Amino acid sequence: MQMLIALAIVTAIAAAGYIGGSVSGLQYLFGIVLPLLAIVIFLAGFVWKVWSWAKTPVPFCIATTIGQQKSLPWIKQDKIGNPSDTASVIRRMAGEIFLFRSLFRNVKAEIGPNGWIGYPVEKWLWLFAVLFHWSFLFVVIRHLRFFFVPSPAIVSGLEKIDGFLLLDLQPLFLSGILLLLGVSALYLRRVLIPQVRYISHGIDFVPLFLIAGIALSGILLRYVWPTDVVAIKSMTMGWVTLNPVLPANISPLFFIHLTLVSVLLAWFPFSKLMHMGGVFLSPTRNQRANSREIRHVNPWNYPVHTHTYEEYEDEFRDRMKGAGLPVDKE
Amino acid sequence: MLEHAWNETGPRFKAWLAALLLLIGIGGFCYSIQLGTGLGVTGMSRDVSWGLYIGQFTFFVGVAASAVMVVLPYYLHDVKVFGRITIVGEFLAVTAVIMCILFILVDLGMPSRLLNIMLYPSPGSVLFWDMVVLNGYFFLNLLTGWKVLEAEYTGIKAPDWVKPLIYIAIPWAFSIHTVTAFIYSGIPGRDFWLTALTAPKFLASAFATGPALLILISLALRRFTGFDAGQEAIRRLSIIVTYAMSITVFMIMAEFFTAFYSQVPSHMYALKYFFVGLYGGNSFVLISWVFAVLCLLALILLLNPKTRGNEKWLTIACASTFIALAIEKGISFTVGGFITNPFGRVTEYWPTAIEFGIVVGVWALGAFLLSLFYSLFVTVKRRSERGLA
Repeated sequence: MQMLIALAIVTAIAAAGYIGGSVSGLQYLFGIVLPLLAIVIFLAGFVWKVWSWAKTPVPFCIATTIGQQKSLPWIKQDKIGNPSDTASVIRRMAGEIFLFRSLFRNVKAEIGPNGWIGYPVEKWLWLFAVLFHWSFLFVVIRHLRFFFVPSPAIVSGLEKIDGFLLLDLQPLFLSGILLLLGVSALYLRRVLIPQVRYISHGIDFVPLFLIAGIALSGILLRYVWPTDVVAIKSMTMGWVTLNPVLPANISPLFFIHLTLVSVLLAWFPFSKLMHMGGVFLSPTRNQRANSREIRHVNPWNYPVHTHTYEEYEDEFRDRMKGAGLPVDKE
Repeated sequence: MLEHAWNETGPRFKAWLAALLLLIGIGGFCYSIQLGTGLGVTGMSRDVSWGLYIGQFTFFVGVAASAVMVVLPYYLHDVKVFGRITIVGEFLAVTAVIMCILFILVDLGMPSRLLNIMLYPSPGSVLFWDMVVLNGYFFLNLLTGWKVLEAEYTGIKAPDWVKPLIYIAIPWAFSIHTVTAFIYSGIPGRDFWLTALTAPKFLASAFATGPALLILISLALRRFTGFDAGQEAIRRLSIIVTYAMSITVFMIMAEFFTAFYSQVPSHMYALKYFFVGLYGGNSFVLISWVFAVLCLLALILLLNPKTRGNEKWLTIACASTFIALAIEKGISFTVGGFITNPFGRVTEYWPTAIEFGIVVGVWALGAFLLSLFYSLFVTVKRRSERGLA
């Protein structure tokens, strides 16, 4: 039910985009105001969110560890699983950000016919996540060509690789297809695996539907109902030069695409999608695991009155001696 | 499970992988030249339009199919000694199919039109069916090999659907090499290939090559990783190699008989070209005699039980078998069909440095994948034998 509400929300956004693109009076709102507003909200929200995380104090050493900590010289340290210096932390973070290392380690527990527990590997989440995120990145970079004149060399280079395969002599951008496949697979995983469905809220489906809608409308725009790309570029250049232009012959489908993207951008800083920025600021990942090397003292500790054994012995030495108890200092 | 393939390896293994990566890089560089300029950088021409790439493709389809020589006895005849190496065979098949697909890719002048084989399928073409069976075989072996290994890793029995897939993979192995042979023997204009013997000869030579390679791999695994396939498994494999190699050589001799006793000119051309040269074309004479000598050497060493039972001699015999058949199927057979063009003239072919570079790159990539697969396999075996499921 929650999932259907999520679907209804995304459909409503798309419908709004369609109406916005069809009714000429609304085109200015949906083609100029909404995207610019979305960008402003996105940038401001992102900065605000990162700032609020960055200024949150992290008094404790809470790095999560999955291997041998730095110890005696003859015990081999797991430098990535339990990093104790900055270089290893950077390697660990890089593995997390570029390769999704912790997803790669995913296993599931299963009980065999002999009653023993085993841990078969479960790489699907990792595979779909990698497919989805990397192809999304490629798609985003490819779209930079709408915001630069001339289009940057990295974009045209990427287009060559991404569009290497031809579909009826027209480049087929694999990243777009893989993005749709990846997001569909992640959706199916959520629906088909009972445990994952159980922990899924309606709100978890919204980004999936939104991104699927964006990918689908993008693919349709490119291969099925092409729209006037030159007109769109004049429009996008209008945004970045803050000199709004509204070309006449843009299809409503493009407005659906644009509205979905705008909503995604505006919602981004306030949603779970903020893990894009959050992954860099996660204290369980970006800290050095040196809790035994260095004493971490909570700076907020209020002064606690203590009474050490030495003080205790000083106080009661005579009586302890009198009772025949052993003492450290004579 | 995958991470063990990497974490529990030594510096020597990593150096080996680095060396292979370098070769892959060289291959990639050569391919970038070919991609930029086109197939003109190869030695292929109007008359010889299939060369080293397609030859290597054919050869590795054989290697892929030969996994069945350990899987079939183990699953159908309950030959328990092969139990330890069925996965070795399946991973070899997976790697070989990947190499096959790469050899096809590098042979395409316009690889960007790759999708057309699926967008515009032509069921009348043998090549289309080759694509279908190769992909099917790839997934069958990847899935079954992986599931069986995972079952060993976790200690939980593999799911029930794995068994039927293994049984399907057995006839499928025969199909891939048969279809590949039909690519050749289905061409009426090329007399050297136009013989019903092509498919059986392909299968026979594949079943010599693959087990020979498996023996070499088993010996290498024992030496470098401590994983022992077992004396008995190697002994049985060597018998398979002996039979298959004898049959292969017999079939090649039979080709000679038909061609020369009956004096069929178009059948004699290629054979003459290989061994004595034809119309001044003689670039294959040297390697053809190397092939003949290696075949003879392999047969002598294999047929003699004393040398076959001795690991040193067996290594030489298997290496000879592998190299001899890599020459025969890996280049000669393909070029042989083209060597006299329809006008009866000889256009010579010899691979260029770039062609060799690309082939070396694909071989290195195969060795790279295989090393990782076997590293994983050996680690899982070692852990399960230590009870570290």
